[in-house]
Amino acid sequence: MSEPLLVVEDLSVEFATDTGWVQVLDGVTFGVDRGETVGLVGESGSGKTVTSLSILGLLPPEGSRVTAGSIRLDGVELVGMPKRRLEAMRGDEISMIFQEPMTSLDPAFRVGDQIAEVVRRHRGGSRREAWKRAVEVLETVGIANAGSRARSYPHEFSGGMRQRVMIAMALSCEPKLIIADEPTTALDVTIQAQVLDLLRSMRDEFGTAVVFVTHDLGVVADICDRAVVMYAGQVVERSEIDALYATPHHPYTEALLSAMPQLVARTGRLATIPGSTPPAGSMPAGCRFHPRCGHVRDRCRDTLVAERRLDGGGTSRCLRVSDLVLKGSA
Amino acid sequence: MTHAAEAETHVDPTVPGGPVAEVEDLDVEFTLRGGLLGRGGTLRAVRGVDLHIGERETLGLVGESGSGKSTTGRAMLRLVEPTRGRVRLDGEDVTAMGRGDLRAARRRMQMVFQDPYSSLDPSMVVGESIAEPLDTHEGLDRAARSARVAELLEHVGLRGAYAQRYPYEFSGGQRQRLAIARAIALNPRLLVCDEAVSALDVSTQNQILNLLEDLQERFGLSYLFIAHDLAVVRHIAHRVAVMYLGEIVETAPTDRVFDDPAHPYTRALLSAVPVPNPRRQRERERIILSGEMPDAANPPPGCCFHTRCPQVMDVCRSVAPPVVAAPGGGTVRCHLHT
Ligand SMILES: Nc1ncnc2c1ncn2[C@@H]1O[C@H](COP(=O)(O)OP(=O)(O)OP(=O)(O)O)[C@@H](O)[C@H]1O
Ligand SMILES: Nc1ncnc2c1ncn2[C@@H]1O[C@H](COP(=O)(O)OP(=O)(O)O)[C@@H](O)[C@H]1O
Ligand code: SF4
Ligand code: SF4
Ligand SMILES: [Mg+2]
Ligand SMILES: [Mg+2]
Repeated sequence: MSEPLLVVEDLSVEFATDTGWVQVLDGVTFGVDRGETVGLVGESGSGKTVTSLSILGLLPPEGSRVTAGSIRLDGVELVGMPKRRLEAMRGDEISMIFQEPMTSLDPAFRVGDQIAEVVRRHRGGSRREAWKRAVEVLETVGIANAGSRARSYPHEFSGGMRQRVMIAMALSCEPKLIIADEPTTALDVTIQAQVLDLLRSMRDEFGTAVVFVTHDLGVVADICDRAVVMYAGQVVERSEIDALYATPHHPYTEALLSAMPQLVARTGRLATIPGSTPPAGSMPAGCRFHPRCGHVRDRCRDTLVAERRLDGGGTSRCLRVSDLVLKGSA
Repeated sequence: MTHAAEAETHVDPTVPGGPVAEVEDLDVEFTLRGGLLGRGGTLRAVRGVDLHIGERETLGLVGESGSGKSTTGRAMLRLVEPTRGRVRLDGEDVTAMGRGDLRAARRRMQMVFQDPYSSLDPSMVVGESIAEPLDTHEGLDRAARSARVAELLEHVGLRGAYAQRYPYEFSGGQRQRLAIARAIALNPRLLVCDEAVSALDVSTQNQILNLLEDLQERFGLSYLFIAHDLAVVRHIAHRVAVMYLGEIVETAPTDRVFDDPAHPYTRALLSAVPVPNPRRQRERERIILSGEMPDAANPPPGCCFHTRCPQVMDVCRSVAPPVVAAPGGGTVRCHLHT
């Protein structure tokens, strides 16, 4: 079988701090197939955003470095690619949607012009053609009266509409891959449902692959085909989505699932995970999750744990994976 | 208006004794400055809100961004002045109070925000921030003051010695505990928690929710719990009020609202929450509302939800529905029930 569309392999990233370089990603590995939506989940600080910025080649040039690993899109190596070529790919073959669209949209320009500009940069063509394409994609994402709304400025849109504009911009050059980092986190659930629906139909219509970064396991259940669970800069579990929720293979996944408050009637106190995520630069020895793990054994405290392939096709970074039966979500 | 009288006299069985806080026909208007065209105008952010919160009760207030939740909470504490209506705390009319009485009344109602930095001064050790309300209202001597700070820290699950540290030395969850310590320093009756756990990771969020429950039990606190996360509200609230465009469109005991929502907006809101189980999520009936909440400065005539309601009828476009008793408990504001 040929390689997946996106391959992230053994990616390690460091950031400069007052006390020297600290590692924030350690050997991150996962793949994304064509037309597939893969969720990147974990608590804040686990490395989701650093992973997505790495794929986009948007890590801060000063103060950060990729120390190992490879990122390939359609077989083309992105790590170490010259800036100019990366810029040419961004918006064309890979595009992005972030949590706060206001920071990615220029308040001084009409949204139609901003989309047209992306189209012209990557596809060339006349102003007229690019404007036509902008209106077309605004229509695709469900902006009513797209022809006249294209003349509006970002501040004249609500939060949900701005996120649609971002999606329109991301789709304008029919990319192979979209990186969406918490794209619905700032939205109301009703608007989130609209945006998720939109992303689903874009995937069905254009076969766009999506890396969907979120901390919300409900959103992952709704939109993703597979998930990559991150903890403290490492991937701790990879799985197809139904299996992840039914039979998780890492105690951290189990703990996250049990902590999700549910819409059903309450049953006692809410579950918590003791302690908190370790800060970058002071990772516990052995399994990084061991100080918080309910299944910890002595050997977990000093044995380095590698990610292991499992029979079902997923992976787990837990020493006890073969003798633990973990609880999924009801 | 056939059922209106009945709805108003509906007394909730979960309220023993009288309510701690009562809100009656509350309106809050903001004056908008003229835009490019010089047209000012008013925005009615809160429109005829009725609420009550009993002792040891948590009322969850939910609704989309801009629906008026924070403004309702702020008006109850008179952090913003109501334009009409009444707010009572333990039967006393807060809306009629002069400066002095209001200052005294503020001891009994406090607010906890999403961003704990708003109540912790970054340049002060946290013990000083926590002691600030004590200094304003109680004038304790040094020893009593630091003993009380240590005690408050322990109430929220932190060590007394932390009093000497600065806010930046704490994690997000710990900072929220500090903000809660400050809020309970004067033994309030009512805490308004405005998105108090929204910025936290799920595990930390749950720790804070469990803490709020413990404090409620221990000190008999009442909460107005404002949140957009419906699963969190289901867990912590005894009753729920659903807001849309400044109005309470439905209110009832939590189980009734979640298991048998009476208002079309509540149904849509609940169906939009993705459940963390892919199989169940695929099978769920979903109501995807079109469009967004209308501009509060230009509310639609008739039912405020009619522009997005999947069950809209002719009457809804021109006649505002009255508040009526809902089947199964509580009240609802919708023509389907009249
Ligand atoms: N100081 C103000 N001046 C003018 N309008 C205001 C002011 N404060 C709030 N509003 C408006 O009042 C309405 C209600 O706002 P409010 O902040 O109470 O909503 P909310 O339900 O708390 O929303 P969120 O979930 O986003 O916090 C909105 O239309 C808002 O724009
Ligand atoms: N620009 C930066 N400089 C230094 N450290 C950073 C920077 N960006 C992120 N980090 C650190 O990298 C780790 C992963 O962060 P991030 O990828 O943003 O997490 P997530 O998106 O999962 O919340 C954290 O420890 C964070 O503090
Ligand atoms: S290796 Fe040990 S401590 Fe780590 S997750 Fe597995 S059981 Fe828990
Ligand atoms: S009154 Fe009419 S428009 Fe309003 S919620 Fe009920 S059915 Fe819908
Ligand atoms: Mg992030
Ligand atoms: Mg608010």
